[in-house]
Amino acid sequence: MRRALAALCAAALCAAGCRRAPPPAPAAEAEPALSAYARGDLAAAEKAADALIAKDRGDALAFNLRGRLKLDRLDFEGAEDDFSEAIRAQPTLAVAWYNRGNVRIDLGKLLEALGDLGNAARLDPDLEGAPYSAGLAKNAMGDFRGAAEAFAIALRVNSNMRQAKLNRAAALAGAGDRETALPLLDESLREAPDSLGALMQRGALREETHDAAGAVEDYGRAIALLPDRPLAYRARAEAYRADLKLDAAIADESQAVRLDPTNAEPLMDRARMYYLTERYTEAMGDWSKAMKLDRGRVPEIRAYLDQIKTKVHANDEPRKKAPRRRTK
Amino acid sequence: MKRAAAFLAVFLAGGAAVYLARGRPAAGPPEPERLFLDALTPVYTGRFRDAVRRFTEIIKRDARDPRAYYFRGLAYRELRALPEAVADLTRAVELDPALLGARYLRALSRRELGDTPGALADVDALLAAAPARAELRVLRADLLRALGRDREARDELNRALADKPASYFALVRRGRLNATLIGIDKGVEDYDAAIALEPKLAPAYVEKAESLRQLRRHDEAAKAARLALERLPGRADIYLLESRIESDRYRYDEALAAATAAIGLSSKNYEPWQKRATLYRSIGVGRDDPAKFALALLDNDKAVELAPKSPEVYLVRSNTNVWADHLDRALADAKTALALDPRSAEAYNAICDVYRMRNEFALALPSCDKAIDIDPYSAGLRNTRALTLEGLDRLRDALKDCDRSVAFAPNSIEGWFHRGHIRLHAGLRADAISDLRHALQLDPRDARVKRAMEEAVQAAPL
Repeated sequence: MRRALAALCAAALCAAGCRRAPPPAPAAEAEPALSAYARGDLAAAEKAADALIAKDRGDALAFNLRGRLKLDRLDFEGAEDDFSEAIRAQPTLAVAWYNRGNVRIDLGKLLEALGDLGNAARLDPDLEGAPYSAGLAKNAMGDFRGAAEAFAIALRVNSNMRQAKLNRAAALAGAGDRETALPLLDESLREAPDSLGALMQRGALREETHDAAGAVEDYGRAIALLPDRPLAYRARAEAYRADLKLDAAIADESQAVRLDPTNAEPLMDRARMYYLTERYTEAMGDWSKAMKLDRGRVPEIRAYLDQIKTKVHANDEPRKKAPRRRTK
Repeated sequence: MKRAAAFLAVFLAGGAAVYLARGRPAAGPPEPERLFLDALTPVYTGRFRDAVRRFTEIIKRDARDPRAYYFRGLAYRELRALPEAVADLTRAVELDPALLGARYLRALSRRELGDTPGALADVDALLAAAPARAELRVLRADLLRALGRDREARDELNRALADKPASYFALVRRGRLNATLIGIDKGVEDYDAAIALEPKLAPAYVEKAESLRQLRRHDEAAKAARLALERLPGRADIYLLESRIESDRYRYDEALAAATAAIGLSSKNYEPWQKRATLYRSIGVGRDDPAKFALALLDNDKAVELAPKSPEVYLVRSNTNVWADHLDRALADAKTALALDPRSAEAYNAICDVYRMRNEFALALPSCDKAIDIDPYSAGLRNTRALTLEGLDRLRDALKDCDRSVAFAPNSIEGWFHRGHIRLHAGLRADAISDLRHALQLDPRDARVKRAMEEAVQAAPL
């Protein structure tokens, strides 16, 4: 079953048919490099790998090892070069394609990464990470349907791949399929209740599907994880507004204003809610600050101020006509 | 399993042969080191399950070796067993905080598991300890953005792009942030730079199309959307964007085709149905084609079926019903929207519109007033009240609302058309012609405006 699924993932990732590559031949000469690597002496390990490569530029595993070592010191481009050399020396070395695919994702070379991951999966269907990585690349390129399919394949190969559920949900939401995305997020959050990304994502989806109370709950949990940032407060304020709870929304926008006082957005949003609840003095205070932060808001603010004047004027009219009361 | 055993046997045999040939002691490394090497070999040859098994044995013997946790964490990561990878990499970093590779892999794994703050803490530690690679800065910017720290994210991208200017995704990401934080045109600059680097990719075209639409550079926006769709033909949201761009420039046939394509790709989503309904209605109104109202209502019904809790879908259907002269149905929809959102300015506006169409202007006006009271900065609400006030023969007040409408939305045909029409009613023929001319510049094919213009031209000057 597992093999069949792996074959399926390879087929999905590459146009060519599946052909399993033989396992790479071990190189005994690599032992000094591996020993140094095992000791954590990256410089010695790289030097030993250099020596191996100098001796035989056709030693694909030595290039692959040196690429891995370069990744350990975050030299992404150097690693990419070495994995490329490994592939040149031995085009059937699946792990070199896989490693280069992954490092190309780090480097933002997503189209090239997809080709590499396809080759890796074709050569070795046991490389379970390949469809998942392909999903990440496709998601970043905006191919949400392709990404959702790649994550689905990753999940068929390994149903416990928690992040594949989360990323598949994001891809499905991007493709507009909220109905399928939501249960995946429910499942993700059952497995990992403290995933901020999953909570924010489900909150947004619940809002989009007009489940304001559900969104409020998710953003509340996100706030507990991230109490010192305005992000989740602002999101919850919007959900409260949709749930017709303006006082709660104002409280959240106030937190956002406190945490990010130079941003005009929360001030404008809070001012609108003060206005709707007829707390005009507070609203005018917010507009005055927002105007200083963003002059582009002036026409909108002026429209609200004019409306307030109209209302105040309308309220004053009957009072003017009423007889004055005598004061003692 | 057999394959792994055979592989190990070959490896050991080969290793032994080389040692013997070099005259080293036949005994080889001491046992713990031997085990470690045997476990490490599958890591670098891509046999990650085997590596996990072997390092688990090593950890059972010595639970304080950071490298064993690191390599098992690495193997778990390659198997995409990320919770296990994070646990091992955490142990590795605890035992040896200098393991940069472990921190990096943990940062990636945490991010993919949705632990954004944890991932950011790792990247911050890496940037403090290691050379500040552009890739790390881009990763940090992504994490900051996910946490809503947009300005810091943009600063980080500025640094990354100073180090490595030819970075497609860094440019696209900075473009988004610049568009929000500085100005849309600054975003477009970055999108153009990204497109010049990698014209085969779609994301920069998508962002550019949206930005140009906001800048009302419709021809360029339409071209960018088309190029995005050539690269990503399966994206319903890009078809919807194209539909919006085309309807913004009153090219309804093209807009309709794009909305229909979006429905084909995303039929469970109410937005494309709603967009197409709006287009059918606009064609019915602007092209004098009342048969389109029936088509619009079919799409409206579908949108309501798909999103019954959304006030918006009822409001859009209410508006179509007004044009189709189903005023009772229009009122029922407006009231449903109001029940779903009692502070909806649009719902009050819809109620006003129904009464106005029944010529019950005095009954209509309070709802229009309420709508504007809730949202004073809406051109559409001002238009409805202007027409209601016109019905009450309060032309001066009507024109005040028209002035506001034109000021709030100068690129919408509606404000110009209604002001022209009411000015004509008020005997302000020259001003009316000027307004109608402006409206015709926006959409030369609008039948209502053409008729009003003919009427204005034929009217005797006062």
